[in-house]
Amino acid sequence: MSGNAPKKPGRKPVRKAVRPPSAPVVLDVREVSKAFGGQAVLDRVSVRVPAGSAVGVVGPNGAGKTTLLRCVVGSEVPDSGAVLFDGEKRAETDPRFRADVAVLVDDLDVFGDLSVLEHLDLLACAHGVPDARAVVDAVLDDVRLTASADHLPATLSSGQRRRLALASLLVRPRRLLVLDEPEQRLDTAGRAWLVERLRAEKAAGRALLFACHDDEILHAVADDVVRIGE
Amino acid sequence: MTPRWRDVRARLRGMRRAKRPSLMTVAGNVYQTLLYTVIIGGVFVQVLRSVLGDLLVPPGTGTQYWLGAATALLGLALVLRVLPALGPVTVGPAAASWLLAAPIDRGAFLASRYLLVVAGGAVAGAAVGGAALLVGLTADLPGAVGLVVSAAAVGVLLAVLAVWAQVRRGRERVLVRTAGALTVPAVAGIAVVVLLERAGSAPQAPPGGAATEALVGVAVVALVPAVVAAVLGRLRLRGLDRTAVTAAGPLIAALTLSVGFMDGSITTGVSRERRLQAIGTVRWARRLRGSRRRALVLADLRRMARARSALATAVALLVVPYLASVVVPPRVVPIAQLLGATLAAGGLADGLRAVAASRGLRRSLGGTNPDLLALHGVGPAAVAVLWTLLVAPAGGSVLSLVLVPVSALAVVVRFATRPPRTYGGSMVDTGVGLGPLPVGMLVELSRGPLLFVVLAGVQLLAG
Repeated sequence: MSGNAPKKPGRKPVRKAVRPPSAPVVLDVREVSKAFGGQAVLDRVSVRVPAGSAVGVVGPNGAGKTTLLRCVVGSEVPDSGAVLFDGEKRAETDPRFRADVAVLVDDLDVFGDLSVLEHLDLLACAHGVPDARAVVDAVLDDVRLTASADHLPATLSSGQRRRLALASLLVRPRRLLVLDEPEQRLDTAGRAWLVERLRAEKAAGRALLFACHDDEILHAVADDVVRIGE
Repeated sequence: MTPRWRDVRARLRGMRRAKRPSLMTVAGNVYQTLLYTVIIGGVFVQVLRSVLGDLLVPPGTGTQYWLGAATALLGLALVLRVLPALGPVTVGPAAASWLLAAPIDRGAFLASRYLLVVAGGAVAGAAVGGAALLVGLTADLPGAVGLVVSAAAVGVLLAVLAVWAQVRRGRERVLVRTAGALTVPAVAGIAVVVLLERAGSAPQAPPGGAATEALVGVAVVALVPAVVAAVLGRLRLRGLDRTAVTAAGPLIAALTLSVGFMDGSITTGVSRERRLQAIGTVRWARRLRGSRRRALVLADLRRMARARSALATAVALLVVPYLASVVVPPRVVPIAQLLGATLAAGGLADGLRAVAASRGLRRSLGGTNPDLLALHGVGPAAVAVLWTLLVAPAGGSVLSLVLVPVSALAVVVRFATRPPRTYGGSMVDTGVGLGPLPVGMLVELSRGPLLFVVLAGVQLLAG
């Protein structure tokens, strides 16, 4: 795993993953480059995320963290390099990719006329989750949105919208989670919950790739870190 | 010492004067705009005339008289609905930041804006009165003057009413409910006139003399309360707080952007957000469940059921083909059916538009793009079919029973799946006074409307 810049000296070592050495690589980003208008944003960035592990992406604002994640989920097309899922290229429109990859990049897109509860019910049903109702109720409780279950997304605070976005990832099946600064707009308790939840995701054998500015979350969750733009 | 508004205004005007274009430039721009408006308007009217041919109902008949009156009532409802959403007394972000924060006399500060609102109400009212003259609401000069003056007075009263609603929160709802209450008799009135006309017993217009006397009387009576209301409204301006005069800011900014960028979705996005915030919470007795397809279609139907104004519009539009059947030649009726079906289905296609526009939504819902678009097209398709069946007695052939819903759905899908607007690429001068325009943008703008024109032509050929 390597970025386009060397690690800065003196940083705390990142806690390494406790995972079987034979864990299959779910996501393999190979030397991806991306430029906008001649300005290089990503320069041959490589990332490998095995099942049951988490890779954090760090770097200053404008370094290209979100661009990297957008390339991974198919919202941007890399100028060169490859993004492999289970060892093969998959288009964002591929239903298998959509079934396996849960994405929280950019703002949450919602159906404005559906309540929080209906959104989660719809996602669970759309992905064929058995006992969808119980799963949704549990996740709603988990993200502390039960009291807002009947609210339309337009009435939610930015923190509540973030919780809804996270909940929308948790009510559906997933093998890889791609998250862009998931800690944003969460309160202290929410960040603590997020750490526990991401660790539980790893323990369940899921792979995580996430950009993060919070060192505590990074050290608590990430098995490896890729630094870009430093 | 607190500065007087008059002094602040003089200083602001002095600063702006240097940056303002010359009077000749402004006059030239106005002339150019008017010239192109007249040319394009003339071409449009000619095309419309050639398509419609002679109207079945000549001007001055009772049918036109009562249809005009019902349409005016509908326009009144629309004004009551729209005016509060636009302020009507508003200040821009710069004035809100710098001037509302200063201890100047707010009444004096807002007076010029208020004057514009009242004058706008009078002009709009007079224009509606003038339009009513064209459909033969009255024939003689005193009646015409009376009609225009009373319509202008009504315009002023409506403007002041909207300011009255703006002063205290909650009053806006009164206007909106009144608008809703006026819409019902207006649409019902049109329906009754159409039914009578189709049954061969056209309603009679009131005798000319009585109408003239009534209109002159109304003008005299309406002028007094209009002037009194305008003066009282000016006195209430001090009561307008910061929230009241800035609430419409985002919508007005969106409208300005929509016009500038020729993209109506900016305005519809802001107004949808306001509507959803006003609804707040929803509750449905039964949870979504079942298979993927069932859940997606049911969720879309729920969204449609919540779009009350779009549902009401779809119902109100039912009268359009029947109205067309008594006003325009029979060969044009299927086009009215197509237009109505497109508007009715399109108004209830929010789910289709959302899925088509958002890669994030498609990704989170899973499945393929065609599958998602098809599932979100089920509701609009059902609306198009049902709507067509309900207006089938208005006219058209058996073939149009199939052509109308299929064409309407095609236009709705084409419109909903428009890519995001782009403003780059090659430019072309259209020669209509808009300057060079991006070719890509023109192609995107024509997506949907162009298909509608083609399918309307097919309807004309198919009869």
